[in-house]
Amino acid sequence: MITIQIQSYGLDPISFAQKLQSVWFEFQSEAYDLVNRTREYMVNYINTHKVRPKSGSKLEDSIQVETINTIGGIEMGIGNIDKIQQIAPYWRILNFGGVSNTGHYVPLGSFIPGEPKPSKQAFRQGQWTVGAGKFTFIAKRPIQGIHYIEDSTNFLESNIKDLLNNLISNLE
Amino acid sequence: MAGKYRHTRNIEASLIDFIKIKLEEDGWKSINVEKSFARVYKLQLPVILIKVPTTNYEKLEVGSNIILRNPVIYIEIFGSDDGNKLDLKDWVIDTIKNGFDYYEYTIEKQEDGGKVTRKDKVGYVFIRRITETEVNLGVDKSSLDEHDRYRTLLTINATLNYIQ
Repeated sequence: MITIQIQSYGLDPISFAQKLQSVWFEFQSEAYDLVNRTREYMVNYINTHKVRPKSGSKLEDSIQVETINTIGGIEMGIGNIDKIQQIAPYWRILNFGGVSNTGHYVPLGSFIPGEPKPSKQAFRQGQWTVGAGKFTFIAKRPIQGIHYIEDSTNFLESNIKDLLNNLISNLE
Repeated sequence: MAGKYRHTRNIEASLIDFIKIKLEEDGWKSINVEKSFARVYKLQLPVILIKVPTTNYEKLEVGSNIILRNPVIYIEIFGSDDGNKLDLKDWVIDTIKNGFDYYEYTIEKQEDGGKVTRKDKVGYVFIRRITETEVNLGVDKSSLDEHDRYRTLLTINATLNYIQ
């Protein structure tokens, strides 16, 4: 969760709150837009940073914006963990990296599309498809995390700061 | 043939050197400081991993072409146990919260990589914010590789005060 703290400079807190209230709907509308842009940013970030760009998009598709509460404020979430866990349980390892999913034989299958037999080239061409062949291999190398959650949080925080600065600097 | 690191690698190398010096000063023994994620798994715990994957840029002032660099630094602690992870994390935060010197590194290419031949202090990296995230891989810790059991990620928003 991101909590926003606004400090006033040059105005007493009550006058500042009144001025801020005058742009409250504009802020909510811009914030709503920003949350959707952050979701797009996160999906693009995953797409451009994952090792196999042609692999499936289960995780990207499962990341959606949800409005949690609109009474007395606006509360929105990007990505419902329960849903993502069901659809793309690898979301944690892709974010943080690790070897928890390595060191054992993967189920029989082949890489599709491209070269079906496991090799460096095949790994970058296709996606491992269980049941599509009789190949297997031991995943040995650690999976490097891409920190898409932390990076998207940075994007959101930096844009909220700009949004507030723009709105507040126009208050006169 | 000599060459120079660019900003991102200068920040990485400056921070690695800074942490190594401070570890020694504060009496920590056998802590590995690394910048390659894959190599962490070949090292003995505990390990501190440093990465600078992203930098945000902003104009210093309207009409100027001078840009300010705001690197996002990831420091990941791979502890040998839960207590070690917490102690090391607190130590890292206390140690870097006031920032660190920024050096420009000159390197010489060699067969087994690059060797630092010179480093010049040219700036300072200010720390603006530190966010802590417990690395939870969603499975029972006892089933994980020992390197994945006790991990904490620090996301650091910084500003480099060296402008060109």
